[in-house]
Amino acid sequence: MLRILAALLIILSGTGLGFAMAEGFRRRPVQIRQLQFALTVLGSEIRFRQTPLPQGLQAVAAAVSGPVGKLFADLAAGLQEADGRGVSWAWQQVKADSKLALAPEDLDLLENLMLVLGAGNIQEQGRQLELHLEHLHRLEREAERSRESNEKIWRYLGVFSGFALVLILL
Amino acid sequence: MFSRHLEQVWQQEILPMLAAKVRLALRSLTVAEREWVEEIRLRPHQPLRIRGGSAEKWLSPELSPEDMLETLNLLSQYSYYAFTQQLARGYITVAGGHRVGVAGRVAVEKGEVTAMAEISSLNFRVARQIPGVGKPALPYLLDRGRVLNTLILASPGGGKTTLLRDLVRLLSDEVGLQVGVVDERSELAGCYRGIPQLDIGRRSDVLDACPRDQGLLMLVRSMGPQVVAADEIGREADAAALENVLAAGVAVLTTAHARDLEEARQRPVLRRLLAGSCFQRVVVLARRQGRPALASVIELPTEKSLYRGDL
Repeated sequence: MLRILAALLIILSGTGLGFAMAEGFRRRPVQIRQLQFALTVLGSEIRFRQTPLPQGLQAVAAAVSGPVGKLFADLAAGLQEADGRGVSWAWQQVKADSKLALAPEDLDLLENLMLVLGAGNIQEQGRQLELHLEHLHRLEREAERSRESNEKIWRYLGVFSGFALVLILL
Repeated sequence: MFSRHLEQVWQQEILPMLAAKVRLALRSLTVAEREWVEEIRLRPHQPLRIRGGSAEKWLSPELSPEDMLETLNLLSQYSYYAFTQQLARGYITVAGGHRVGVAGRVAVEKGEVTAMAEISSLNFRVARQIPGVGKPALPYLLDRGRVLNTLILASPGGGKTTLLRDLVRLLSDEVGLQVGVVDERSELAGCYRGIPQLDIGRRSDVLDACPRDQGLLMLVRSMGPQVVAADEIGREADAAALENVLAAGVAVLTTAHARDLEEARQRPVLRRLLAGSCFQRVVVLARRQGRPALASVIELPTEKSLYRGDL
């Protein structure tokens, strides 16, 4: 009886591990798409309403749900505390504690954007956002491909490694 | 909401707009000194300079280019794009109606200044609201309940905007007229996100950041004002808009840079407006003991002096 219980436990945890890994691959393209939406919202705030960044970022936070929305809310709050040190400084404060499923290259892209955000006239800001959006499209395609190839593999791998471990131990 | 205590103005409007080092230096000022300050001037590699009346004071330590950048970031809320046009004209207006003058290297395109590329001087001008400053002038500007078209003249820093703001407030609150204000530089009402921060009266509508000539006509068309007020006329387009407003039977209050009537007449647009039957009153301001004061009120077109202050 105890043996069966232990075996079930092992299989379950293996499955859980696999699903957790797969979840990361599934969430990344979703969050990249949310980022694209966020930059579009920010772009229209800047271009059509000339909203200053702290309010613009808050508008983005209100429009986007989940961790991506929270990232922009944190950034807006970080900017209030920056005391003149700039957008990049605020980004450095918030990027560490974000619960995002983004890959390092996605975060590098955001970091790049933070270097130019706010600095430049409206046309330049529009161009920069456009450029980063294009780049995000490419990253989304790549994330989608890696989801297709990895999501199922990790799920199966989790379940089967659970079974394998049980077989070895029995 | 409008009881703006000095301490509140400093804590909420002035100090948060300045770099940490500047803030620290300003904390050493006494209450009397804060009352006196009209300008806070920042330049890299120089100590902070504050000025009020004809006196000045230097505050250590020396400022660095980083302090300038930090201040500029705070003034623009990290959003250069939202202030490009203002900067190209040489200033930023911040919450509370304080105006910060900027100087540096400009970028020019087709003979027009398009941007302030590098900034080397900042001049924070503390906006003052002096309730009641317009009271002595008010009786001269009214004729049987109607407001006479009035031009306020003074040198830069002579108190034109302060007087105009108080006149708007008095006309709106005490005379009970519907007033429209075109606040191209956000100085008169000190709008922050479109809401006036300074007291301009309960019956006043403000078009914030709107070009004067277009704003005057917009107000007349849409808000049904009995009086319109705008700061610092001088362009051809302003004159044309004023004539249109007057033709609609709306009274006008406005200001111009000039020491007196003679000096005003040396400027082509003003000369034309003064020669026509546009204005019925001219109010001239001058400094008395370092404070702006009423110098004279002149009736037009007779040029009879209705009031003469002892300066």
